[in-house]
Amino acid sequence: MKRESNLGDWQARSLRRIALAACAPADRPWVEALFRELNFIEGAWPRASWLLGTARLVAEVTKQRFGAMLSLRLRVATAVAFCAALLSVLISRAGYEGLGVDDDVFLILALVCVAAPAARLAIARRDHGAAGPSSPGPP
Amino acid sequence: MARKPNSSRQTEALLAALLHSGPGWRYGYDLSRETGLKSGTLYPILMRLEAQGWLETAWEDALTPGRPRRHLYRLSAAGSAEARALLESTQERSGRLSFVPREAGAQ
Repeated sequence: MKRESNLGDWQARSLRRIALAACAPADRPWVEALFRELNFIEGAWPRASWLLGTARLVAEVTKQRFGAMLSLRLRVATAVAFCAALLSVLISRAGYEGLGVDDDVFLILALVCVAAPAARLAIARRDHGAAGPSSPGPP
Repeated sequence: MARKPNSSRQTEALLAALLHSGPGWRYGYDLSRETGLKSGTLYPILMRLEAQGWLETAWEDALTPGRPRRHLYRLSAAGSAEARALLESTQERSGRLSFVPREAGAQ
């Protein structure tokens, strides 16, 4: 019984760390609050059920956090890639190969497709991290 | 037609529970037991209500050394008024809820 209890505590502690790391600072008090309630829940099944809810809460807040970043990132990347591909086709059609620009456009396209989403993600993360907590943090 | 905010069954159940307790603070687990909502449903609703200004939150004062402080919830004044109006309109429309708590202190 003691061993089960310790195992549960260990799992809860690990899950808490992962959950807090995955969430934005503004959402952490909520995750912390949810985990603290675990101390007052009796029984293995209610505790497991409560922990399952934690996973859902984390999924919800991380979906909001990263979903917004990803959609923006993909939109920018798609627009840039489309423009670059169009330019590449036009140059190819025109038969212009001076200075090897035809090949370079494809190379630039690949670089932009990687760099634009990465830059977008970095900006979004910085902006998101700058937001303060929505409620006083846990003591 | 756009759906009214906070008009899901789960949110209404939570609002009814919070209204029922009046100005007193509630724990998350108690609200979960009273409403039958799982934590994964309850907390996103609580977060949304707080973001809308309907809910006040606080950390419990230290009562016993070694006992973790818990997060507390209650409806704000604006939230109480909005929730009462919402639940009354829902009750009139469909009779889904069996009661709408009256103003705190009024019996």
